[in-house]
Amino acid sequence: MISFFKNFAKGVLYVLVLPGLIVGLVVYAVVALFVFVYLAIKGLVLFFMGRSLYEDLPEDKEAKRRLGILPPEPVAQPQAPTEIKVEKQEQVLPQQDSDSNNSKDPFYVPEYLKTEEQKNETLPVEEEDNFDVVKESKPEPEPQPEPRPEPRPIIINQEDKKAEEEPIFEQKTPQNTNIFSINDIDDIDDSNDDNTGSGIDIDFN
Amino acid sequence: MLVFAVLSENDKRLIFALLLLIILVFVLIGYIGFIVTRIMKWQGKKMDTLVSDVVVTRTITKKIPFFNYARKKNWRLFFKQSWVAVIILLVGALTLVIRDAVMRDFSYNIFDYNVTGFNTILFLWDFSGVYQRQGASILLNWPVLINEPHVSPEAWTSYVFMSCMIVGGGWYLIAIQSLIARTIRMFQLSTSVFEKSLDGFNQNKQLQPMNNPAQQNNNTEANQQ
Repeated sequence: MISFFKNFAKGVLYVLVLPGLIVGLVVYAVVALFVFVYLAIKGLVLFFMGRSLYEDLPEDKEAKRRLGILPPEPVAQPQAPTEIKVEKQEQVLPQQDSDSNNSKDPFYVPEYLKTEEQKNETLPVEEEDNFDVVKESKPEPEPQPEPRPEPRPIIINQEDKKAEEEPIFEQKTPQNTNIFSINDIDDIDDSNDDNTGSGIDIDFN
Repeated sequence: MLVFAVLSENDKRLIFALLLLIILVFVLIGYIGFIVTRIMKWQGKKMDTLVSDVVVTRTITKKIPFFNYARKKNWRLFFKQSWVAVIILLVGALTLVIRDAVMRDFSYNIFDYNVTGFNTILFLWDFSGVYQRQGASILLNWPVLINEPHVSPEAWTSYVFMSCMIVGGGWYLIAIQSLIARTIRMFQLSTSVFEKSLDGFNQNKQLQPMNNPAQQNNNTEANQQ
């Protein structure tokens, strides 16, 4: 019953306020019509400019950035001239054929002293590009210089000592002397007269 | 009371019925107003959706920038909701103008109920002879039916015009109502979002556990349990 009378009172109130409400509605409708015309013209102009009337406002863009929807704005930094330097990496590779680099290679074995096995050793050959086959490009490993231990020369006699002191490429190798490396120690056989073992002959004369 | 004594029983019953009808009409108006208010509150919630991102991320922290931003978003949404209605209104108006210009007849009556108006398809009554007073007595007559619905070919322009006005006008008024509802909500939010209220805040209550270590330990033990 109370709600019935409440609604009756509200009805009387709305009837009394209704003329003011209607006037307010008509005024708002007329003002909205003018704003509509303004927005329509603005929308047309923006359309021909390639933009939209409904594009995000600056506040919307900032809010989307803070929410993580849009990426952050790139910070404008002054572009300084950069120098391009090409660094040459020293590749320490075993050189077996070139005599010019043998001065620093303590394990160098000249061609005429190589055994047949050493002569037959071949470097890995790079495969030729086959354009009919699509290959996956593997990233080339960075060449890392291998730490090489300092060689321990084995001095047998005075002549060898002199040879060890002089650079190798300047050494005059007599025909009867054989130069061997520390890796060949295991191949040394006591019975050299029989030419058995690894095939390295040592002449102590 | 003298007038009431002169009235017959039927007249009294009629007056009571009329009063009851008036009360019911006011109650009905009250219910309609209640429904309209609820609908406008629901329409105003759209403003919350429009401004929530900006408010939640604290992009805008002051009342006036919030007001300007919300106003722009409000008008943009009104344009989006009402452009179809305005086009319908324009189509109806252009139909009538073009017809008058082509036929060179600007005296075309769109409310005529005989030949050329929209009222040709409506029931119409004449209420002029309903109330008659003869001395101290009041005579009430039934209204006279003056038109029954019939379709008139000459009235096609009126049919198109009035249909467009009713549909477009109703649609536009609903968009205006939404605009007003969002504007009211905008005013409410501009106050409530940035309002700083110290109701229920007591500085001493907050500092008390920090000043008393024993009480603080008791509180931590209670929290662990």
